[in-house]
Amino acid sequence: MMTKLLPWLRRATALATIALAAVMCWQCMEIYAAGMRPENLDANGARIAQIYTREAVSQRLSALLLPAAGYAALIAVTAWVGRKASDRQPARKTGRRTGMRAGLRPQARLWVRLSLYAAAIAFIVLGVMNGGLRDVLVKAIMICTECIGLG
Amino acid sequence: MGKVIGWLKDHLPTQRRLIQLYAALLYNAQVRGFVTGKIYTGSAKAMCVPGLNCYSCPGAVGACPLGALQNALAASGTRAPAYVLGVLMLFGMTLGRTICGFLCPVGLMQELLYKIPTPKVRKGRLTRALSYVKYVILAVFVVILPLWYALQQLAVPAFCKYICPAGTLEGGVGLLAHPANEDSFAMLGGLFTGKFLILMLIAAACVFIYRAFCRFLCPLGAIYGLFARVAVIGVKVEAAKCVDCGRCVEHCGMDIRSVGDHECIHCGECIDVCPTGAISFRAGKIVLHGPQLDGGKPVQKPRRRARYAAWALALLALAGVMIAVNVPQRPADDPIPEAVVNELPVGKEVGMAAPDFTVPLYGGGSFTLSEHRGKTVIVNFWATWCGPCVKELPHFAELLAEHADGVEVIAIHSDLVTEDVEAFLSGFGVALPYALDGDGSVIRSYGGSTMLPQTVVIDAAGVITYNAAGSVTLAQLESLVQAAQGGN
Repeated sequence: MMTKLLPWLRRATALATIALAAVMCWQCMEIYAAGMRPENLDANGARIAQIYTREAVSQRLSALLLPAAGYAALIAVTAWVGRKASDRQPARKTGRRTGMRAGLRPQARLWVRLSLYAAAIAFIVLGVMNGGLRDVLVKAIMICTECIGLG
Repeated sequence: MGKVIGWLKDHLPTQRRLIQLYAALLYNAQVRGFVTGKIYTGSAKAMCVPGLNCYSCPGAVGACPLGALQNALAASGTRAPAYVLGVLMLFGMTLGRTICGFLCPVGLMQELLYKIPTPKVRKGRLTRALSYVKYVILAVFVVILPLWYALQQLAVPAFCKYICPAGTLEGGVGLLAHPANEDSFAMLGGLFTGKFLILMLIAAACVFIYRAFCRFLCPLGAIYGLFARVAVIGVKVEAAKCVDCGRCVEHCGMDIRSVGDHECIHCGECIDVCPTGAISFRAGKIVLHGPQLDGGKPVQKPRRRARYAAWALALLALAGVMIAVNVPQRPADDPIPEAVVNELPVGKEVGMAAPDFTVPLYGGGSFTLSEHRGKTVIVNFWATWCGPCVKELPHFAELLAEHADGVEVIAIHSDLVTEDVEAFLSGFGVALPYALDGDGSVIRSYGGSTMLPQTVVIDAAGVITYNAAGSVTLAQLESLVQAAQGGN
């Protein structure tokens, strides 16, 4: 019974995953489309109101709470059934493919490693001296809003 | 009781999972950031972490190596990107793609999503072909586009801006989730919508495909993959013991052709499926984790004491980092004392009297806000290394040319200067009054300090009518000026 039920539950979970992701995408696009309607733009074509607001996002997220809870329950049931059924299933067969490839010879590898380490350390020292370290700090402690996709 | 203990034993996280969790926590040790909604601005952020972790995440205490690389390439016209390249080489040489398997928070998230029980997409020729897409993304979005934009004096980390799901989730959603950043909703538009859709697609794909982002899209994995043959730590195969049965490749979820190749994330899952015990996890010649059984005989003594000692040290280090980064570093950021000007309180909010300031102008002289009372003043905070800031400066120049009588514009460079502002301005053809906020007091008095660009519109009476971070268009500026001058 469990073994027969499992594929269907997995398919249902897959469909639910796709549906949930699609609904989230749809909600996001709907907020955007609503914000870009002509009545929300002024004579210059600039937005007169925000596209996204905390209220709009919260409202849509709260509408998704129940489906999300159902989705979580479906995952839990499928996982439980899967665990029960897995005890009865035979182990997966393995194929035959090449498992190993020849690498560098040990001596050559050692030289490559040493030279790359030396280059890495030289680069870091050079970078610290030319201000690269400060550059990284400056960009990491400021948020470039467009760079993280905010706008 | 026995059943419960048995269940717990069955469900104990593996050492690798614990290390993944540890790394995610260590990279995001600034718990205070999640409470205050502000990012960490301490000096630890000069150091790159090995895994993919957005440095705009409220918890992040280190820099993302991929973001740092793109920014360094964008600035390579004035400064060789030696530091970031050196750090990436060091990480790659030491750990290679072991970082993907053990030290990447995005890898952890993908593995957790893959645990959702659905039918899974098995690896095959198609997935193997797709695994080369990440090299294209590395070349186009991480190297070519930032360099191409750099030629136009724009700093654009193209992968972060257009693709990175870690940036959208940790940086974007992470910041927006906090009520303190409610103003940031105002800047969301097409770019955010597109990136959110990409995030959803990647998350959904990870449910069906093992590490979909890691295998097909992640340029950081592509970089570390280049060190596959020379990395010191990782899974190694003893040639003498290997019988080429192929079980390791078959068992692996990644698109490997052989154990330890550029697609291998050194997770070590293959160690126990090898019938001859040929595979082990090594640091050079030292075996860190080997096969438990070889022909039914134990081949390695379990080193529990060493493991516990290592974990104790690691937890101690984590506690030290958490204490260090969660202690407030600066006093209160608002340097403006409570005051009343023209019966309005002085402050950063819309409707308040704008805090007065004097800043030195590049090219000589100074700019004092109160001297321009009677005109609409637009204050723009920018930086040479902020792509969107530089891109929007021509809009301010155009606005100034159109409204020369009634509008003043001042473009104030953030206090974080990378010593190239004057050189930049000499080759930048946009005529505006440029000034420097030497100690950062001006930007802080207007409520900013970590988000660029920021634009403030002050009306003729000295009252703030607009103050927000994010890019603006010429049309938006026209509307803001009209509103400040008593229009709609």
